[in-house]
Amino acid sequence: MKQFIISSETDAIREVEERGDQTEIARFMKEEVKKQLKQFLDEAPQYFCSPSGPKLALVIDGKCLMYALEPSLRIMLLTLSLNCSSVVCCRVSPLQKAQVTSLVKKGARKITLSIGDGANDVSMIQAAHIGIGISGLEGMQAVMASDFAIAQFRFLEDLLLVHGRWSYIRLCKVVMYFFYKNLAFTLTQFWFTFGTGFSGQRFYDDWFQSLYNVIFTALPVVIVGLFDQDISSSLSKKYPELYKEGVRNMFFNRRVVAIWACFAVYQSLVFFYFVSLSSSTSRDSDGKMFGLWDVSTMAFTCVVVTVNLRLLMMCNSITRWHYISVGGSIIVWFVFIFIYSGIMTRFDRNDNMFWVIYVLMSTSYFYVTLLLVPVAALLGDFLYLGVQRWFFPYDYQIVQESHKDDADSINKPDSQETKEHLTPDEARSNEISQLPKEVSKHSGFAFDSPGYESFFATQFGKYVPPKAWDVARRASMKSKSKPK
Amino acid sequence: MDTDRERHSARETAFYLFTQQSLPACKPVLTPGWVIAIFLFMGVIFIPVGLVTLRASHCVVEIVDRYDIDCVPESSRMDKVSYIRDDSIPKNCSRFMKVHKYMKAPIYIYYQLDNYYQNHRRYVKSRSDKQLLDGQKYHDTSSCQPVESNNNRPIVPCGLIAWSLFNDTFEFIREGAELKVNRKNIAWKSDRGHKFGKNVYPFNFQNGTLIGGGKLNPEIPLSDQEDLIVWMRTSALPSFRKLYGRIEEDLDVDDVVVVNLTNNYNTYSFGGKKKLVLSTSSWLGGKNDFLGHACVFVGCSSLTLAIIFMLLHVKYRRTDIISSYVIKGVNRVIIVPFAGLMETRVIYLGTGKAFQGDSDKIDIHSSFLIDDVLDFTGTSASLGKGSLSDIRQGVVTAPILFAMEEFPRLKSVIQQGFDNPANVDTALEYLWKNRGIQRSKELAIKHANLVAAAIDSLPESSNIDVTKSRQALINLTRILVTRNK
Repeated sequence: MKQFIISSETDAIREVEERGDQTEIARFMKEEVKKQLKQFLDEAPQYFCSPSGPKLALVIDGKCLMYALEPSLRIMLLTLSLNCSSVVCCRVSPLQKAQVTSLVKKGARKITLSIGDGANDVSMIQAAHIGIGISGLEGMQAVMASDFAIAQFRFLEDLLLVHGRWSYIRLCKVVMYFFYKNLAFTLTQFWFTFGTGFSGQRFYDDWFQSLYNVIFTALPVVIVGLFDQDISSSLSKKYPELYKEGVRNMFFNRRVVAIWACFAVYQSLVFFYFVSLSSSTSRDSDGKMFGLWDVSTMAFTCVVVTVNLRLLMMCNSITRWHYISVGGSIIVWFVFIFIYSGIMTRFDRNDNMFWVIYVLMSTSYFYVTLLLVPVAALLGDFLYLGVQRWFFPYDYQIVQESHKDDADSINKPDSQETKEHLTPDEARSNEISQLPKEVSKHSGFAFDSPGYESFFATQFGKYVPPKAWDVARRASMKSKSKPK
Repeated sequence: MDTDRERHSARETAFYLFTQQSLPACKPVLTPGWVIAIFLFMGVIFIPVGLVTLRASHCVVEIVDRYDIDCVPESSRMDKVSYIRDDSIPKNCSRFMKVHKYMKAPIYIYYQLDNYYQNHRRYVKSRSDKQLLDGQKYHDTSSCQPVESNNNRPIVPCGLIAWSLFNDTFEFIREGAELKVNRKNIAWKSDRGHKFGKNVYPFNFQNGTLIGGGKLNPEIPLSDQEDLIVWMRTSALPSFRKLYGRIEEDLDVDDVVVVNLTNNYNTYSFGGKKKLVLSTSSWLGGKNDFLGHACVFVGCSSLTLAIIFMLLHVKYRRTDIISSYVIKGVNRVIIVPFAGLMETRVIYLGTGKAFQGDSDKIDIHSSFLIDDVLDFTGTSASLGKGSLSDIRQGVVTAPILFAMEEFPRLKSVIQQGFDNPANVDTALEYLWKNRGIQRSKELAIKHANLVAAAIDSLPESSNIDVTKSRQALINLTRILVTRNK
C-alpha cells in the first residue's frame, strides 16, 4: 500500500512555527499543502496502470486539512481522495469532520454514510446522507442525532449487507406490487368504458372500489414488506457482492416497471374480456340471465383472487403469516360480499347487489370461470418468471439456487438432542454447548469486540496472534466478572 | 441448566422470532424442474375441463332469428321510425323457425337486443329502488329525472329504465296447435320478493307525449310484473338477451314453429337490432364456446410450453451450480456448467453479467485456471507457495472438477473432506490417473484463444498506440497460459 502523507509535523513547518509569525505560518503551510497535494496528484495515476499495483492511501492531519479545505485547494483534495482506497484524517475537529463529509457528498455526488459514537461526531453524522450512531460508553448524543443507531461497530456489516439489502428489495417489491394491483384493477374498468358508449358508467360497485385497497389486498403486501428475505442473513454476509444490486438500482428501474405494467395490462384484458364474453349467455339453472352487477361481481372476485396469488408468486420466503394474510384477504372478500348481498336496509343508496353472489355461486359457470381466469391471467407472469430465472438469473437467484439444499439455520437447537444417533463429533459439540456459558466480555466501547483485531485478518486467511495488552486486558476483565 | 432452557424458550417465542427477522419460512426456489412440472399439471387439468365445457356448450341447441327488418312491410322500409311510431298500423308479423336438432324441454325464449346500451351511466342511474318498494309514499325520486312526474303527478315506477320497457309479444304455434308459454317465474326470485313492492301499483305510467315502451296493467302489483322486473335488471354489454318465457314441451327435428309476434318496440331510431332466440340449456348455461375454447387454449399452451422447456432442459442441462471461487479477492465467481463441464458459464457476482466471451474477464479466468493447474504440477520452489496448497486447504479447483466428472467415486472422497491426509492422497491418485489436468490446460488455452480472437475481431485502427496495446494484450494471454510459475 502506498501512503500519501500530508503532515504538519515536518521539520520545515516546525522551523517556521518557531519564528512565531502567524501570517507567515499560515502562508507557508498553505504553500506546503498545495505543493504536496499537487505532487501526490501527479504521482497517483502511475499506480493505476497495473491492476495488481499497490492500493493508495492518504493520511492528512487536522492542521493541514484546514488549509486543504479552502476553496482553492478543495478540488485537488477531493480528486486525490477519490482516487485513494482509504483516507485517514487524524486530529480533526468536529467541524472539519462535517466539512469533509459535505465535500464528498456534494463533490462526488455519491451516497455518503458516516458512523460515530461520540458527541464530536454529531455534525458529521448529520452532514452525511446516512448517519449511524453507536450507543455506548461515550453517551447517547450520537444516537440522538443519527438516522440509525447500533450498539457495536461490527454491527455495521449486518446493517448494510443484511438489513439494508433486504430493505431495498422489500421496498421495491411493495411499491411495484402496489402500482401493479391498482393498475390491473383500474384498467379492467377502462376496457368496460368502450362498451358503455363512453358514458362513464362504473363497472364495479362503489363499496368494492373503496374497500379494494383497504381490506381485500392491503394486508398481504404489508406482510411481504416486513418479512421478505431473498437469502438468509448468513448468506448475505458470505456474498457481499450482492449489495451491488442495490447500488445499481436493479430492481426499480424503467425496465422492471415497464414489465410489471405490461403484465398488469395483459391481466386486465383477461379479467374483463374473459368474464364479459363468457357471461353474455350464461344463466342460472332456471334460464335467468345475468345483469351488469352480476358480471362485475364475478370480475371483481377474479381480480381479488388473482392479485393475491400474484403476491405469493413474487415472495422469496413465505412464512405462515403470508398464508394467513393472503387466505384471509380472499376469505374476507367472500364474507364481505355475502354480508353485502344479503342485507338490504332502508338506508342503502341502491340495491343493485342484493342477492347477487348467492345466485352467482349457485351456477357452475362461476366455478369454472374462477378456475380459468386467475390461471390465464397469471400464465404470462409465471412464464416470464420461469424464463428469467432459468436463462437470465439475477445474482441473488443464483445464490438462492446454489444454497437451496442447505439446512435451515433456524432449526431449534433442541432438535438435535432428540435424535437417537449422534456422531461422536456432534455429541461432543452438544456437550460443549451445554456447559455454563460465560458472561459477555463486551466492555461497551464501540470498537471493541472479542477477537476483533483478527476478524478482518481471518477473512484473508491470515492468523494474527492477539496482542499482549489485549490478553492482559481480557484477563483483568475476567477476574472482575464473577462466574456463577 | 435453567438459564439455558430459559434462553432457549425465550428464543422460540413468536415475538423474538419476529423482531430478529428469523421467522420460520419456506423458501421456494423456482427451478426448471418445477416450471416444467407446473406447466404439465396445468395442461393436464385444463384440457379435460375445456373439453367437457365445450361439450356442454355443443349440447345446447339454439335458434336465432332476426326479425326487426323483415317485419317492417316493404312500403315502409324507407322510413321505419315513423312506421313504428304510428299506432294505427297493426304491427303483427309471422315468422317461421325451423328446428334443426332435437330440443328437450324446457326451452327458453329470449329476445335479444343489439346496440342497445343498457349500461349507459345516465340510464343505469335513472331508477328509484325505494319507490319500487314504497310506491307513491316515497317522494325523493330525483334520480329518475327526466321521467319523474307527469302533469305534476308522480310516475310509478319512475325512471328511464321502466319507461323504456320492451313490449314485443310472441306466440308460438306448432302444427296448428299453440305451444304453451310459461311466463311466470322468469324474473329473479330475490327481485320479486324483495325489490319490487307487493302493494305498489303502476300509476301515471306512460301517460306522457313521448312513449318509450310498453304500458303496464295498473291492477297488477309490481312484484308480479315479471316483464318489468326482467327488464329492470340492466345488462352489462350493449348486446344482451332477456328471458321472455319458457316452452315446456319438446321440439323435434324438422319441426317448424310459427311465431306470431307484434313488432311494437322501436329500435329503429338508433340502429338497434331485435332477435328472437329459442334455446335449451346445459349445466353450464347457454351456447357459449368461449369458456371451452379458453380452457383448451390455456391447457394446450401450457403443455406446449412444458414440452419446449423439457427440450431446452435436455439441451442445456443445468446441473447444480458447482462451486464458487474467490479470485484473489477481486470478485466472486460461480461456475454454472451448461451441457457438460467443458461449456461452463462464468458468472461474476456483483457485476450483473455472465461472461462467455468478454475478453478481459476470460483473461483472468484462464489465468486462474492455469494457477490451479500449476498448483498441482509445479514445485514449491517455482511457485512461491506450497504446492498442492489448494487441495490441502480443501478448495476444489478445476482439475479436481474434471477428475470428478470421470471418476464419480472421487466425489464421495471429496465430500468427506480433506482433513484426513489419506483422502488427499486418494484424490491425488485419481487426479494423476485421468486427464483432469490436461483438460484444465486445454480449457485455459481455449479461453485464451477466444480472447485473441476477440481482440482480432476488433475493428482496424490506424493509431499506433492502439495496435501496440492490442498486440500486448495478445502476448499477455499467451504468456499467462504458457507460464510455468
